[in-house]
Parts: sequence; structure tokens; C-alpha cells
Amino acid sequence: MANVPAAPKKMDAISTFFYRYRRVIKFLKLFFLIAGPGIIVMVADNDAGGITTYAATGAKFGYGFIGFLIILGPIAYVVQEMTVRLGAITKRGHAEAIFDAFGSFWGWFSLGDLLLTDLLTTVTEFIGMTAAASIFGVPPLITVPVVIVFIMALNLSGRYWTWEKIVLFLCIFNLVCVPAAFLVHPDVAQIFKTGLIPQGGFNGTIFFFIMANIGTTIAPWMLFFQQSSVVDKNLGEKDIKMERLDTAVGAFFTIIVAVFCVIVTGTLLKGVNIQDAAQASRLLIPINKWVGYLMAISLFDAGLLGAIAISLASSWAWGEVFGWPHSLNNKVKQAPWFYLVRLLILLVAGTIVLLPGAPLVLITLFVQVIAVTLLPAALVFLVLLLNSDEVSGKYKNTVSQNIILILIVGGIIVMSSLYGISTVFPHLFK
Amino acid sequence: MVNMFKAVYGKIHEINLKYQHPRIHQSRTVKVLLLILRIYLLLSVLLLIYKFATSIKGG
Repeated sequence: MANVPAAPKKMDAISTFFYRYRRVIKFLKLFFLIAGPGIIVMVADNDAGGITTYAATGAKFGYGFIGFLIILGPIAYVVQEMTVRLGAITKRGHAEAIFDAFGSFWGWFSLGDLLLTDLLTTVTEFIGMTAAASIFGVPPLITVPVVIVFIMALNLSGRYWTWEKIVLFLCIFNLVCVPAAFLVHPDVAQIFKTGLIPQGGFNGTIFFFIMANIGTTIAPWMLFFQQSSVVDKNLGEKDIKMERLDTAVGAFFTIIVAVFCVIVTGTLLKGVNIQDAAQASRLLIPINKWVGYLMAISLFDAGLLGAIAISLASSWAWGEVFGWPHSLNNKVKQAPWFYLVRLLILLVAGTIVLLPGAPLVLITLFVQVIAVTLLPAALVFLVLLLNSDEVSGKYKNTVSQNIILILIVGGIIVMSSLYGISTVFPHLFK
Repeated sequence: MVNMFKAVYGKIHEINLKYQHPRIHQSRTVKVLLLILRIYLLLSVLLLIYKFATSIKGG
């Protein structure tokens, strides 16, 4: 009986709290409802190739690239924000938008190039996953089929919402670089002191790493993925503001992972030439086994997220153009071609990794070059679409937006082209 | 098998017809940009073929 009067008081406190912070709570509820495409695309951007690049960058230059990586966050945001607007206004995926706006020649070119890039990039995701799993004693023959079954099983619910929440949960594991960085006890003062400008002047190697980091942060499949994702989630004009925030949060996480990954290898492996992230994990295990294992988990998760997002970008694009049902809200029976394209990409990529003597190094090299071929085209289309009254209407770019965009897109095109050339002629910039 | 190919060809033809006319106004700027893009892509493809050929030769 003594507790009876306490209940209303407690209720009062809860009610007061909800009343006082009702706007914040409403905002957060809305954010968690809409958030997804931006965070997923940005975190999946830290794929196996991305983690490898960050690990190699830290090992080569210590903390020297941290400042540059931080700048890449807003740049990635500016590019991806355009796809949010386009998707929300036109209700069309990027592939369909290109067909519609520029005709079938450019449409087929984009679709074919996207499929080829996605297929080869998925191969590199499987390379990363099998290498990471082998650190835990799991052979590639088990890793590849299990991963394919897992990715396809994510769609069994036939609900976009379920798929998105599971993938968002997987995104959390991308952040394991953060505790790993705390475990290595880096010199924080040194990070701030040397983190802003690469040490030792500017040379061809630094240039190569700058281009590699740009290449891993802004990729063609991201444009296709986020726009299709916005459409599949049925986000409209009213959701643009919140989806922009979603993209900004995603860009923040991308950079957090990149920076902390650089801190790990920059602290423990400085001066070592790293070829891949799995090699970094193996080198880290004797120094600090938990850090090594966390790096391996990060690599596996990065490859998994990359494979999930990249295979989906292609199947969405083909579904849009061919007019097949192409939503994650469709069950397999309702959208067989959509899921078949996805399964085929995963099967072909997984099989290539399992083939004895497969030219995996050559494939990794070609991924970079082919991605570079598509990126300028995709970016030019994006800018033109967002300057068209017919397509973007009142959401078309303003003059100031265009100035910023032209600088960013121009810079990316020049740098990515040079990166492609340097991949083909490695000694040109050294 | 033949029917499948016919169906695919028919679908591609249908897509080509549907997107025959670009929706974006073909202003001079758009035309110049697309021309530059074509040249850029042609050079990129030549670069790829060269690299592929030399990689195959090099084993």
C-alpha cells in the first residue's frame, strides 16, 4: 500500500520527460524510420578494398593521411546527396534515370559498365572475406557458399524494412576498428601533430595513395545503390531533409572507420609495406592478438557489406531498365529475375575466387581501372540531371551548389583518371 | 533456347524504342560534355585493351 502513491509520481516524471523532449524524441523517431540508405551506402563503401587501402595507408605514412581522409567525408556527402534528391523527386533509380534522360546508348553503356565493375568488385570482396576467414581457420570452400546463402537469405522476408535493419546491424561491426585503435594506445598528441599533412614532402607514392583513398571513398556503384535504395524505400520530397542527415551520418561513420583503421596500422605497423588487410591482421596478431582479430573481423564485415550492397546495386539497375519487379519488398517468387541477377553475380564472383590459379591480382587491378572509367561518366550524368528543369524541377542545383560540385566532380575526374593511368603504368608517377 | 534469345532481343528492342529520344534538352553544353565523355571513354577503353594485351603477353 505504501508504494501506491509513488506510481503517479514516477509516471509524472516519465510524462514530464517525454513532454519536455517531445520534439527531440519525435525527430529521433523520424530519423530512425527514414535512416538506412545513406548509412548503408557509406559504411558499405568501406569495403574490403577500402579497409585494405586504409591499412596500407597507415602502415606507409603513419597518421599522415588522417586530415586528408577527414576532407573526403564531406566530398562523399556532396556527391551522394545528389542521388538522394534525384531518387526522391523522380522515383527512378540511377540506371533508369540515365536511360530516360540521355537515351539508350548511354543507358546501355552505364548498365554494362556497372555490371562489369560490380562483378569484379564483388570478386575483391570475396577475396577479402576468404582471407579474413582463413585467419580464423575457415577455408574458402566453406566461406564462399556460406556467405552466398547468408546474403540471399537476408531477402527471404520479402520486406525492405527487415533487410535494411539487418544490414544496419551488420554495419556496427564495421566500427570494430575503433576499439582496436584504443587497444594500441596511440600517442594522441602525435596524431594531432602529424595527422593533418603527410610527412616527408610530396612525391609519387603520396600521390598514388591520395588517389587510392579517393577511389575507395567515391565509387560508381554507390550512386546507383543509394538512388535505387531511396526509391525502393519509397522516400519522397518530404523525406529529403532527413535522408540528407542519414547520408551525413553515414559519411561521418565512413571517416571514423577510415581514421581509426589508419591509427591502428599507423601505430603498430609504421614503415611496413602492406599488400592487403589480411596481411596486416596476420602481422598484428603477434603484437596484439585482439587487435589482429578485430582487424580480420573488420575486413570480413567490410567484404560482406560490400558484397551485399554491390550485388544489389546491379540487380536494382537491371530490374529498373528491363521493367522486372525489382523491390526488396517483393518475395523471390514475385521478382525472380531481380533475385536471379543478384545470385548470379554472387555465384560467378565466388566461383572465380575458388578457382585454383585465378588471376586475382589482375582482377583487382582491372577493378580500379574499370571503376575509374565509369565514375566520370556517372558523375557527369548526375550533374546534368540535377541541372535539368525537366528532371529535377525546383530541386535542381543552385549556382553555388554547382560551383562546389564542378570543383569536386572536376577534381575527382582528374584524380581518378590519373589513378587509372597510374594503375596501368605504375612507374609513371614515381 | 531460340525462343529465349528472341524474347531477350525483343525486350532490348523495346527498351531502345522506349528511350529513343533523350528527355534532357540537348543544349550546346550538354552536347559538348557528352562528346568529351565519348572521347574520354574511347581513350580509357584503348588503355584497358593495351593493359590487357600486355598483361596477357607478360603471363
